[in-house]
Amino acid sequence: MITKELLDIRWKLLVFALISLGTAGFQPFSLVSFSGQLSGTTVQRTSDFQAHIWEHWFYLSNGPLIFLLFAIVLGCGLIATEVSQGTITFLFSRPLSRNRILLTKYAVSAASLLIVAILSSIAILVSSMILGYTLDMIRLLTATFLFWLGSLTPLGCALIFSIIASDTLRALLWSLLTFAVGNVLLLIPRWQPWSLLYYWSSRQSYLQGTFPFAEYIFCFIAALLPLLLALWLFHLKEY
Amino acid sequence: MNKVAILVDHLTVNYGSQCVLRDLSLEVPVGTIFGFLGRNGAGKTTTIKTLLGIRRPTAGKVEVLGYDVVRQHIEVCSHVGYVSETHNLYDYLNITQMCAFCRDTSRRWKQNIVDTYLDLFALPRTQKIKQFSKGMKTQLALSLAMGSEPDILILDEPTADLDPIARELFLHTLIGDIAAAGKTVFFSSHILSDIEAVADHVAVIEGGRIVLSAELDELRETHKILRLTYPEGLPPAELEYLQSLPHVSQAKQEGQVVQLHTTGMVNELVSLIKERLYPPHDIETLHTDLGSVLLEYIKGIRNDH
Amino acid sequence: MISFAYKYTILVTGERHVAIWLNVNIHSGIPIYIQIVEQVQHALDVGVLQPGDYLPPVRELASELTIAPNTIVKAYNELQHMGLIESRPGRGTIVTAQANALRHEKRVEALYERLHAVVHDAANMGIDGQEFLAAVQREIGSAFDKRRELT
Repeated sequence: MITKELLDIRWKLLVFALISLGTAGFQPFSLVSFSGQLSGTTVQRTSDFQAHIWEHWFYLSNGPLIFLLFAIVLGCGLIATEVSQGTITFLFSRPLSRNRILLTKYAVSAASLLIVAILSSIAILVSSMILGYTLDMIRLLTATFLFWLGSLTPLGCALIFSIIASDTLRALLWSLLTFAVGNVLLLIPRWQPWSLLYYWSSRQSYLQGTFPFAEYIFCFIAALLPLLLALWLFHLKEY
Repeated sequence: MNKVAILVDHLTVNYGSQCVLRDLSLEVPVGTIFGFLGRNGAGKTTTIKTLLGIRRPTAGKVEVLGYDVVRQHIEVCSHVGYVSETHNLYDYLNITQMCAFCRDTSRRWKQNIVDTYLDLFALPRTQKIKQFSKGMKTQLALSLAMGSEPDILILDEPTADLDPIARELFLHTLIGDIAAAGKTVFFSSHILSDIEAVADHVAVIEGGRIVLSAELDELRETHKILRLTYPEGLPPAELEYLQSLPHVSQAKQEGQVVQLHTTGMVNELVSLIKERLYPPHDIETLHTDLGSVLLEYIKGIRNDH
Repeated sequence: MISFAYKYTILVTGERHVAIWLNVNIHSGIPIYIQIVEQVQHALDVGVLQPGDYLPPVRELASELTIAPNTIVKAYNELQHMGLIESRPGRGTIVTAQANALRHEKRVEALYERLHAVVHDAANMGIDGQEFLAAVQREIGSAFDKRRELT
């Protein structure tokens, strides 16, 4: 079943991988050419560089946006596409539990997100090395995993919409709407601590080098809840 | 060894506020070719989906090969080969990938059996299913269904999209290889001639209920036309009497001839009529066209229950 | 040695037929198993089937005629009940040695039934008893004489 799921998402995977790798790999170059030479001592320059990388990949404009869309697009297609094409009946006629079906699909998408996240971080690493900057591997790895964990929440939410909507497009619209509204609401400073992004990025720990325990836990729960809800809904839904 | 392949007991299925299946009961004996007839919207596909555990019963019990379809859904699906009416298989896969998918999602899988059927139907292994004709998709679906060595085959309108040659090959294969090996075949169809030819049992569903469930040969034996000739005419009361007789579903008079459609006990009816005060001059027993009999049940004109 | 009952007719297209002396009409309204029983009986009567011949296997016959195997089984069971065929495990279904004798018995029975019907019909139609008897005697004379000539 895994092969079939991979084949199903191969084009989405390819496109997003290219976008992600391209954007991530480009970040170091953009920083150097945009802001000119970074002033200060080597240490300061490196830590500034690292901070800049964080700001331009793991925070707001690039990474999260790309992965938010990636996760939503993947998630929306998981069930709704099979329903609209009629293949869901065939799938249900196999001796598989609904849980296994949903978890396998989710796992393949999650794994795809992870692989692209890791490859993107590698791209950043390579580009930085080309420019003569070294990055703290551990911090990069920690940030990458947290980043990936955070992307599982939109995946889970999109999956819920995929289950309840009647086709992929509707699921997509509902997901995008939800996250757009969510983002607007979270611009209000009082709501900041509830922002997924806040935890997703974990600026403090990245810069200070501490392990972001709280953030990991928050993101883990935020990823788990939609998945559990999706499993429950999938059980109830009549096709 | 279970004698009943499918047992449906007072099944009710609601879709929202709409009642799709009402108190439906059905028994499919092991080893039969069971035809399931009904018009569009009568509830055929819903019944089949319930058999596979895709739709949950609102009330009632459904067992396939002794397994409860709700609680033992995986057991049911591992013993059932399913061919869907829309035969929508994954377009972006080719046959080899499709076989791999089925193998991974099956309890037991015999690729050599599938290959035999694929060769019989001459299906190309590496072409994407997207490029297959509907007939080829049906043939592929059947081949795949046989791969898990099912004890029962459930088919939803299998011959609907097949050209005459493909249809003949399909039916020959179904009978010669599948039914003759002792497997039970349950297929829904709206093509009367397929059911007439191939099935040995038939059930008709109309308005979410079973209106007929019988052996086809039994239907042929019991559903006859009695042609009675009354050269001196027939008193109207007599016609009413004939209409009221048990196992007479229809009585039509045209001049000197009265035609009775029977649903059983033909010999007894003949004796009864001969002993009447006004017996007919002549009684002929004619065979009916099974197709038109079934059609009447489908239309809801006749009701056996 | 190929049994005479199996007419493996290799046609131009190379198709093989199992028992071309068997045809069923699914539209005739006569139960299919009865059609098969009657046709096997007829084949015995005319000599197409002889004691010791094997009937086609259920599977092949079902496939050939495109009818449910259960129907064939029902027909074979009926024929077995009549004593005309029997099942040899591992070898197939064979026409019994007594089949011809049994058929003869049945045909004689059927003949006398027809006689009964003919005579009563004649009476109902108002034909004169003596005329009828004379006609019968004429027929007996010519038919049995012919038989004497042939033997």
